[in-house]
Amino acid sequence: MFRDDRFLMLYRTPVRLISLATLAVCLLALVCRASFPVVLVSDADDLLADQVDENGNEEKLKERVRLREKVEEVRKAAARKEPADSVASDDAAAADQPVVAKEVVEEKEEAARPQKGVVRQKVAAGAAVAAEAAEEVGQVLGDILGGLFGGRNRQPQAQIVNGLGQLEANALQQFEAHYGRHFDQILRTELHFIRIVCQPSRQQYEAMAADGKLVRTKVINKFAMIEQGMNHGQNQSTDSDTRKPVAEGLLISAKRHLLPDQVAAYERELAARNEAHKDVAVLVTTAKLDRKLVLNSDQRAQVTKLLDENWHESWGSAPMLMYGGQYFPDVPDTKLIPMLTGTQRKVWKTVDQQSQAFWGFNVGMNQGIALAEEQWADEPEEKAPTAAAAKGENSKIEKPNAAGDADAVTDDAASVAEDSE
Amino acid sequence: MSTQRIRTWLARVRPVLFVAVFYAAYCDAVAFGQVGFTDEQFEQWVFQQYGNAATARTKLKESLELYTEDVDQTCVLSDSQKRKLRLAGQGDIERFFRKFADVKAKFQSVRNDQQKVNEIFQDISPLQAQMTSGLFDRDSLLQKSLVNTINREQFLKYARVDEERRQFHHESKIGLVVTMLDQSASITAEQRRKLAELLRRETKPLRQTGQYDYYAMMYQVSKIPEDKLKPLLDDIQWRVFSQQLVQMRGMEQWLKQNGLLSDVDDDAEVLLPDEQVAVE
Repeated sequence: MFRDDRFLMLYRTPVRLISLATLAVCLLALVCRASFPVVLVSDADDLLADQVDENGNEEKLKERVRLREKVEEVRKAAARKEPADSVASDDAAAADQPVVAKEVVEEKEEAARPQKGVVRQKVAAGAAVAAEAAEEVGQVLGDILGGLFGGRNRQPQAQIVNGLGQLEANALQQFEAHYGRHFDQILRTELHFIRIVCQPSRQQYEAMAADGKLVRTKVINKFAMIEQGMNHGQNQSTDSDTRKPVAEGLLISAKRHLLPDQVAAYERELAARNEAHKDVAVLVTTAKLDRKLVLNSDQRAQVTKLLDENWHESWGSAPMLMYGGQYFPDVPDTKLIPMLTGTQRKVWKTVDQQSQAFWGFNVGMNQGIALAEEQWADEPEEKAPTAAAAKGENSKIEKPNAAGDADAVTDDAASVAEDSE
Repeated sequence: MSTQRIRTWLARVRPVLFVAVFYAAYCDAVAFGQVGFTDEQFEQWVFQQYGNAATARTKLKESLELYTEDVDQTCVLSDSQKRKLRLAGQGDIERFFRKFADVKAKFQSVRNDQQKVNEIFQDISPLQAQMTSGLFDRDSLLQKSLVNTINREQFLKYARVDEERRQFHHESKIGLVVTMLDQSASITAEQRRKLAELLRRETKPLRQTGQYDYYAMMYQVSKIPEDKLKPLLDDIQWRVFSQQLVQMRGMEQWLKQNGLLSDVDDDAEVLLPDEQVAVE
């Protein structure tokens, strides 16, 4: 049959056409790829570049100065030849402060590298170049394959690269449009909380509010990155508490703008808040296990202790506590099972245990409502309230427009307020 | 076979092929136009993580065994008492599956109509809630028969243990409400303490616990007079919290529909076994 010339012609013509079309598509994809603008921003300071117009150059400048100071400290520490372990432990501690500290960690790593030898640096540089080239080739191939197999059309879009990976500008815009007002509410209420707890002067408050805008930007970038990763099928981050990084960022700001006593009051409240949240999460999780396994009172006490000692932050995420009637945290079986009876063990084995998979990004009961700006009594701005007013007087909840700032003013507080100008 | 013969054969078969392709496309279009949900899908909706009725039945039986064990651990039941309790629990399971069968029959009659299937979800929702919260709550046959099955001494022991459990769950709900407010409005440690105290005074343990306990609890909080709640918070915090309470007040119908709110008076005294005999 294949000896028939006409049949061979019939067979060959479409094959040739397809080959030519494939080649044309490949060339077209390469040309288009070269014209896509890709913005690579690796410096932590430049992460805020898009926000400069909105927030003004002053905030960016302050941020740069603060970062440089911290980097300088780290470099000095590295020069003193600190043991590698202590650097690592500092890094781990710093990782818990995801806002300004994140960049500090990156800079610390930069500073620590020279200690590990020039050869390693060269190898790392070579690997980075190779990885970049491979990524570029991969992107081009992806475009070609996408074009050939009808994949989604790539839109030219800027990408931001920071320590967490690549954040597409479109993804950030969408995230901001969807959740921006929720983060506004978090920032606004946290600043208000600082006013209740620390009773800052108007000037101190406004300085912190300006820092707060930067904190918000960084936190929203972080969560947009997590959301994007989840949408691309990556593992979920266990970091789901949206208020915590805002509070941690504001704590750093408080240390710059407030008196030590005021900062201490805020730190005490934050520690109490974290402890209270954990206690409630342990209680709710035990109640959930009780509903499933019908525990007796001794078992409930044992399970509460077990959860408390082996607690993982993801178990206390808002959706897990609010809606998680049918989902259970991945409590270590080796510790739980010995506490259970035979029937309870049988039931527990079939329980769907997961930390917070499939929950997605959740803002809990935060409705993102617009809140009024702080009201201030007419008084000289340089006056700051006494630190004593903030010391443990949390039961005294004052209205924002009440006489919160009318307390006695110390000279020290006033001078600090002037320094912060 | 020459090319000419192939061509001739293709020319003859072509009309048949066209008709076959068009018929297949037509069938596909008709199937696409109809919703045609299956029984498996329906069971998946009702039983969610359990997937189907058979697995759900097994889980409910295990749950019944856990309840019986719990009562036995507290009251030390005789074999005959255990048998009676298991029978009552089986009754609860059967009662649930009768409701399920009714809704399923309703579903099967409308499975091809998307709009009517959507309406069926009003019937599915309470079944889902019951599956999540468990069948052996205060209104169950198991709990009601307990009074007639065990003696006064056993009942008093069980009532104490049951009350302890209810308080434990209630405390967890209070903590959850306070924590959620704290996450959306930031309140101080002192405010958390005072709010929790108020909720202990002004709310009652839920009759039935389940997936939507938080909402049921928040509904109770929304019924607390404003003059008791508002003084605990300042203007900004109150604005955030009151917004949530307004939303919860609107959920009354939904909560009732899902069996999370009951018109039955929880404070009504439970008669002890010998008192019931006296009344009879």
